[in-house]
Amino acid sequence: MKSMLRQFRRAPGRILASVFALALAVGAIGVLAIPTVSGATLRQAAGGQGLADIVVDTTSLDQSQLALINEIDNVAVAEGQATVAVRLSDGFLTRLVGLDFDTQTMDIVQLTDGRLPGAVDEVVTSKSLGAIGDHLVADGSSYEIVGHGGTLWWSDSDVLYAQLDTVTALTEDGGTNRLVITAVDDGIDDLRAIGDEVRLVLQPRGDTYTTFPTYLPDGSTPIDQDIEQVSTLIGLLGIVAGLVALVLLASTTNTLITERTREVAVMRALGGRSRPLRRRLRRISFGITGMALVIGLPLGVLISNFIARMVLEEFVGITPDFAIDWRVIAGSAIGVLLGARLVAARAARGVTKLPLAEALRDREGAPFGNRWTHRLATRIPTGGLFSRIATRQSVHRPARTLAVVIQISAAVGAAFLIPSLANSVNEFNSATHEPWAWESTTQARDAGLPFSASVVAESADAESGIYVEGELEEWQIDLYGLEPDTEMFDPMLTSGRWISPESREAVLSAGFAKRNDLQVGDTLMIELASGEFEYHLVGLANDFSRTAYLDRTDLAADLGEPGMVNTVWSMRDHLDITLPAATRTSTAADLDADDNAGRAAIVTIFSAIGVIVAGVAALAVLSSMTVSLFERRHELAAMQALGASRRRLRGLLIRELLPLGAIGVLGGIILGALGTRGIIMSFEASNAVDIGVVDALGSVPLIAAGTFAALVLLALATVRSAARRPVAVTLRGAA
Amino acid sequence: MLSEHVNLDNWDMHTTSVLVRPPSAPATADASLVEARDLTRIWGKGDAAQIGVSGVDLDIRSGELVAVIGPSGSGKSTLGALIAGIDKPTSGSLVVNGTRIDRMKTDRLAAWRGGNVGIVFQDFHLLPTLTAVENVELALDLGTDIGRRQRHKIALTALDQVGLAGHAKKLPAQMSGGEQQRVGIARATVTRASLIVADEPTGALDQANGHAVFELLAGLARMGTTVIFITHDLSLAGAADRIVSMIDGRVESVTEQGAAS
Ligand SMILES: Nc1ncnc2c1ncn2[C@@H]1O[C@H](COP(=O)(O)OP(=O)(O)OP(=O)(O)O)[C@@H](O)[C@H]1O
Ligand SMILES: [Mg+2]
Repeated sequence: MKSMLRQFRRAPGRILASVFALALAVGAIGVLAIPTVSGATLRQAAGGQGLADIVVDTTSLDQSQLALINEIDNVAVAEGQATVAVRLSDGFLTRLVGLDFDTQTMDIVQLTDGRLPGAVDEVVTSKSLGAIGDHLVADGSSYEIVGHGGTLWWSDSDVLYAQLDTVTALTEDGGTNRLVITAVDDGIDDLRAIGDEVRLVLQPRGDTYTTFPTYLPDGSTPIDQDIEQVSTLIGLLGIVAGLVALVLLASTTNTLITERTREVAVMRALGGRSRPLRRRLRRISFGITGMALVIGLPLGVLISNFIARMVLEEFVGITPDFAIDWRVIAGSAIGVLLGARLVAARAARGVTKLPLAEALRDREGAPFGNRWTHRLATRIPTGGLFSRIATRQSVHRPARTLAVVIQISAAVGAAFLIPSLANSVNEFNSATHEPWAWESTTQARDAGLPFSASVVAESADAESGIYVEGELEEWQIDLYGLEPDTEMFDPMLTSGRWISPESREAVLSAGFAKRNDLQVGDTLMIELASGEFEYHLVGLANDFSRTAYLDRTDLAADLGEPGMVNTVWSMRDHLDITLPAATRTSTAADLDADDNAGRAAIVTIFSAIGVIVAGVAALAVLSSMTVSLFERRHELAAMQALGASRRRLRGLLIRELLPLGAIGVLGGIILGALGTRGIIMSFEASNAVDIGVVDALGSVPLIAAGTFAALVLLALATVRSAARRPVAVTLRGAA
Repeated sequence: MLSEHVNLDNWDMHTTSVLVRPPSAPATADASLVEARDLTRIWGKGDAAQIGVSGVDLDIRSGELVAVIGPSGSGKSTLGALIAGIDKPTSGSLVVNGTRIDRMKTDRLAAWRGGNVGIVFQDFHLLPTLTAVENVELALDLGTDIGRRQRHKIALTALDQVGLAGHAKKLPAQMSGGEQQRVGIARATVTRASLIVADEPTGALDQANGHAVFELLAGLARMGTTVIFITHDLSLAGAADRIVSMIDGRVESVTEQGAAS
């Protein structure tokens, strides 16, 4: 500790730069903790309110049917809930969710204030809809807000929670229309088995699922999937940050030890033995690393919690508690200490093994001229004297040169990856919209097919159809039931042909088909809410999604409601006919805005992480340069004594940095491009869709200019501070 | 033995045939090249203050070879650094070669140094990544407008002057202390500056080479260069035009030596 302090007093600026850069790098590794931190919050939320394993909308069920479902093998509890779409007096479309507050074990409302509804005209909702005591008018009925709160399932929308009776009074037949089930064994196959069984139990009374069941196996939550992808990305950037940290650690440790070559040589000459000397050298790096960890680990906890909060608030609408991932903390601490120890051991061995005579002569670590690379560099007479100094300096300290290049690459890579991801997502979004010709889509708010296909018969610029979810090859897919001669959709076929009327034909997303080895001519087994059905694959659409396009007549029949639909597409941005059910109309512009908001959120989060990674790398470069300049202060002072102005010294540094910057930018662009591809490919694989990469080539000049500007600034600042002391004072310290 | 190392015969040829710029001669033959008045350099404040030099008044004429002697810590190097313009006095005034340098800005001072002073450091300060000849060339690059080709030739000749003709392509790490010292001397003399400040230039040299270096500097002085020669070697000092003797940061005595050397 004492030697640590002495060390610190000797070169506070350098040590501080190293410690802070390393600390920030360690902190940045903290982003690896984000998935755990957010996962902890979600699981805690899920545990507290009893999340179901299976959630599905059904036609109206009564108590006796629920009792039968409760007797199915492996079902722990099955409960009925009710939900209907309602419109508030201000036009806001929402839902009434009816829960049996006395007996329910799933989706338990978490109150933030007030109480649960005790009467049929009382509701609990989120604060944004009104204060306790306010009255809300929904579809003509008035409800009093008696509490604020919500459940995880509905956390992203403001719904009204009411007594079960309040809502069943509004459903068809007065039964429950939503089924939630907890299973004893909750593996995905167990849950599917229950799902199939329930379907059979419902059949005799003509009841069916009206949506595709959501299975939440192994304690997962409905938003796990949403944040899983974000987490993967975050993890990738965390690894980049970790890499920068290790490179920085290696170069700092190396310098701190090699610059003691002469000091150690003196001790050896006086009889000091290698082993204790090596131990002392290692302790120096241990001290630096220790200080960095003390600052870096809490910083990492803060960073991970900050970003986890951004992610959860954005995607899930809940504010997480503060959480700590001890595995990441222990992992980064052990990793960094072990790394420091390895590098330190190697450097210390080098220092104590150097022939004594050689080590004693040398003032600033390993002398220039001892290696063949040095001699080679000396023989190449590159340009003027300053260029030669610059080149040879880079050759003299290959580890530092490499570290600077890697650090610049990491910063540039992060800076290039983020706009490339944004571009790719952007392009993907517009590509998914491209096949659609409509200006607005109007969809039934409740499950099922509530209106007849002929509702738009008189309207020339509207078409009716079906949008539901289904399953194919174990993937959840979108299913569109369209008029075969639709004008709303241009399939942009990559092979095969479009569907013909009522012949049970399907067109499938090309990327999805490719990833599942499906070809034109194959028979598809599509699972709908109502059961499994066969379709013939006749064409592949270039639509960048996971979608099957079917004949609306075929699909309605399969769903058990022949001739019915749930969606109307229109060439106008509004619908001038009234539909006999609660609907929601979205315009293309609305959807674009949604996409943009979603993309902005993703880009914001990744920009935050990118800024951290780029910041760590920039600080690392700064720290490397500070160390390098400190080592060369006598050299620079000697040049000043010979008449070199600060401008020429800056010129020298810039000449040294620019080639490194150029290689770093090039490497960074390649790294960023590869990273973008890696991320997009992992998205494509985990979603079975084509996404495609669009590199943000437009940002390259900007990134390059920014990097060079930063390096020039760095040279300016360092020369400025180096030239502050009189030359004689700097030179005196050399002896 | 002596001429094997340091070849003085070549000096005139070098100066007249290769160097473009004539040696900068003072305006009047007997003018002062250095005028120090009440020159003081103190580090730190109050009790912790370290006195380098204090209240030094000194005039040095053009073409004079002045030896500065005194015990260790008496302020010789500090005075040399101030006169060479690589340190700034805490107070007092300093005019060198007609320019008041004690208040000059960093970069103007650097440019001034390049054109007016040659400095030989006690501990060499060669650039470790440059070869012997490149180190000498660097002084020409920074201090003169001479073109690259010429520079190389002149630098080789200057190395030859100090007996290092065969060592031109060696790096500092590959040379002995004395060899490095002589590269430092070649570097300081090559620009033909009107003032040379040499801080113990013979410290790392054997007696023969020490004498040769002294002769080299004395020869330059005879041709009009002012030389300030800091040394512990009283026999060398005895051969100077004047001896400035320092003690505790003050000039204790100045001894004129008539027609020495
Ligand atoms: N940068 C500095 N900071 C503090 N004190 C200094 C500094 N430089 C010199 N000194 C002090 O100034 C005094 C004169 O030092 P200087 O180096 O001029 O002596 P010197 O006569 O050259 O000695 P030597 O013969 O040993 O080289 C000494 O007491 C020294 O401690
Ligand atoms: Mg001295």
